[in-house]
Amino acid sequence: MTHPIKALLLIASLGLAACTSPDRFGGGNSVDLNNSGGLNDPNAMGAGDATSPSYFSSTIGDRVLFAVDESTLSPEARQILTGQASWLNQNTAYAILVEGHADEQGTREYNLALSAKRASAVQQFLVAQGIAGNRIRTVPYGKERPLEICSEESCYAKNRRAVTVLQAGGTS
Amino acid sequence: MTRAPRMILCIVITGWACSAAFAQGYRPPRNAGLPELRHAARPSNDLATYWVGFLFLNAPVPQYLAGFPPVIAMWLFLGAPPDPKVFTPMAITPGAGAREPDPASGEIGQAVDDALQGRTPGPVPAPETPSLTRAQQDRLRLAVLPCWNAGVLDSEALMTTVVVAVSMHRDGRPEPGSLRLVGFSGGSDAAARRAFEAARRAILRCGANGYDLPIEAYERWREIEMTFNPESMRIE
Amino acid sequence: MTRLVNLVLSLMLAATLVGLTGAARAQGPLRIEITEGVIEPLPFAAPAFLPENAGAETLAVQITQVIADDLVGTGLFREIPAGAFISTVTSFSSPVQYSDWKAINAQALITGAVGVTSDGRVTVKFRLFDVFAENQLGDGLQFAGTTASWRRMAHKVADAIYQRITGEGGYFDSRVVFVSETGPKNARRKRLAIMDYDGANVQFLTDSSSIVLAPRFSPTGDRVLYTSYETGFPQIYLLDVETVGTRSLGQQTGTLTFAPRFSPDGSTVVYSVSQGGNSDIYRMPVQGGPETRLTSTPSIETAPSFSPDGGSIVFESDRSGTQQLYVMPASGGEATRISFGAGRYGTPVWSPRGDLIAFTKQNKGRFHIGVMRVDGSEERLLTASFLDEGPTWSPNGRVIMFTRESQGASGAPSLYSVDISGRNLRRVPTEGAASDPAWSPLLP
Repeated sequence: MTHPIKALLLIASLGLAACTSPDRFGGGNSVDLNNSGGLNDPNAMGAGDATSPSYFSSTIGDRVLFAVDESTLSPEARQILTGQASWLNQNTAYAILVEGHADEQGTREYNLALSAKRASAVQQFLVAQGIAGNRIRTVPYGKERPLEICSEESCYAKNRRAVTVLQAGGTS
Repeated sequence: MTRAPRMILCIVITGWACSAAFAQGYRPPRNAGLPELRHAARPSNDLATYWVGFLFLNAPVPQYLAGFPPVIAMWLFLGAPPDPKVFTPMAITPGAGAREPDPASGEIGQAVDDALQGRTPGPVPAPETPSLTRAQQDRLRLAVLPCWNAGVLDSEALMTTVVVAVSMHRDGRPEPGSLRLVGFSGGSDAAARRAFEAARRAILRCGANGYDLPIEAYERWREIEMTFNPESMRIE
Repeated sequence: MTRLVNLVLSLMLAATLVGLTGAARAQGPLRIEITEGVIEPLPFAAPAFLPENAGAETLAVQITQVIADDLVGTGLFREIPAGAFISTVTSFSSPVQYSDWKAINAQALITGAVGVTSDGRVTVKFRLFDVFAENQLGDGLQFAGTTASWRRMAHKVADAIYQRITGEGGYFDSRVVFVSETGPKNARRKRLAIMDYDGANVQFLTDSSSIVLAPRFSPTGDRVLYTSYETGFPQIYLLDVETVGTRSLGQQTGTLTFAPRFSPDGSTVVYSVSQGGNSDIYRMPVQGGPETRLTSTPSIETAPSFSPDGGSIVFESDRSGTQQLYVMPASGGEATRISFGAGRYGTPVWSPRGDLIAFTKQNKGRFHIGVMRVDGSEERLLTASFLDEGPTWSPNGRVIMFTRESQGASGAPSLYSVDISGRNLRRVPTEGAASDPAWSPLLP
């Protein structure tokens, strides 16, 4: 498949909404991650296709986790990001939005700043792996969009994350 | 005796007599002063009209205005009635009975004067009047304590120690009109006024049915000066 | 002759002196010192204000209730129920039967009257009495306004009473802007709302199409700064409360800005900018203009708040390794650390009186709202819970409102208030979940 066809498919299957606003969460009712219309949606394309966004999110791994109050990348995180970088280097039709998140154990402003640091750590790693800087944007969500909702470490661990969201409009 | 020493004696005796009179609570008649204008009024401004209300709440109506209807009184007082655009606060002259002077206001300045002049402590009581025992004094103190409520005092009033004088009836009840602030330390006039009001409430409330004091020593407790020191009542 | 006059004069003075000291011997005041008392709410009676004409009955009762609720809500006053009253007040100007109010231990008595005019205007007048001293406290006061603003008039009466008794300015005629929240914890919908300080008259200022955070009032209470994800990225907006018009505060697309706050004169906004993952503090004129960078460290600097004199800014930074509080000149420059206790400190807010800084503290898995002096001394924690954060000061600097979030999957935030002594913790009534309160100044 050539890039233009891939790009067309992408637009056809998902519509333009996701391209214009990176805020997958802000939009009224459809804020559930599993139904957000983001390109990482596993239902959007066959997961078997190694070039599909769902392959990226489920097989490569679209998120990395952080330790409490940390924005440094763990060895596991680096491994995942290395995989993301090589996938992104092959699939250049996508732009990336890196979302930073924090758990609820912190004040709102600090968590916003901390999640910005996490997103930025991912961005810098990907750039170091050869991804063009202008393909990547970051957005800090602080503790506004937890994935897990319990108030225990098992949930907090999954909420301290940076998620690489694919978007249409990458430069090739 | 030559004239000069006699004159000196006269002056000394006069001074002595005056300070003794002060010690007993004699006070020269005080001036019915004008209330302090603390907030300048800006007509045609809602904020200003509100502050005008505050002014009236804080300040006693000067005597020369007391007889006028409120609107005229305010007009005389401020120059012009405020613009009634949103809120129009105005002072209400007291109805029915004559306006009672606030015992607190005015006494403050007096107390300051007293403090400056150095209050002469009262002479030792004559031996024929029995003194109050320590236990009797403690009982009085404990009787006032539950009515001294520091809960509504602001932080500055809680820094202010006030001395309140009160005249007592033979049945142990305080005379409500006799309570006056004779001294204070640690805060502003306004803080002292609030601290005095709380102390006054304490003395009057807990003494409503009379304090338990020995009648044979009445002369000794006919006049009481209570010092209210809120040091231990401050927030943490 | 002269000698005789002198002699007589001297004798008269001597006689006076003997008489005075003799009397003093018998009447020398007994002196006692009282160093302990009680701290309890002051009981007051507020018989329903009298309607001055037909049609004012309901409003008179409602206004009395709001006044009583305001006073009781401070924790400093206790209302004596009407059922206990011996006296009935039948006329606003008739003399007060002090003995009847003393008998039920009403220490303060509030009487009032409400009139409604045919053109829809209301007048409220009241008097305040010190029952045991048997006198009126201050002069009566009258407010006039429209029927729609009757709650504000009640609040103004309560402010005046509070001010007269406690000596502190009131805080009842004020508003709170906050974030109203709906939906599950992982998909909250947030919108800005404004209400009276007591939770009445809620109005929504934005819809819930984007995440909104941490609104802050201008010093005059007519504008609000807040952070919104309207563009997909957190950015600062300015909202006019009256017209509900919003505008973005001049910034380039893609810049991440948050945690805005007005300067005391309303001309400047101080805020955080995140660039390349690093958050620093900036300031710029509200009307637009060049940004000035106030901090430049590789650590997180955020949550700035001006001192009331506009000369200093308190903020949080993790430059030491953990979140701590620092004070710097409002033009930037060297910052002095003021928090040194155990745990982490964030969201500092300078009190409107200038004497204290309120903050959020995290220690041993608990959150606290606390206050300290501006040099960091005399730290005092006022609350403790699973998650308390984001203090905001009442206009008189005596009460702090904040967000308290409950624990667990069904956890949700609500607004609470506490006074600076740590007493009188109360939930502020809101319909549904609410967070990030900001208290307005007293309304004009």
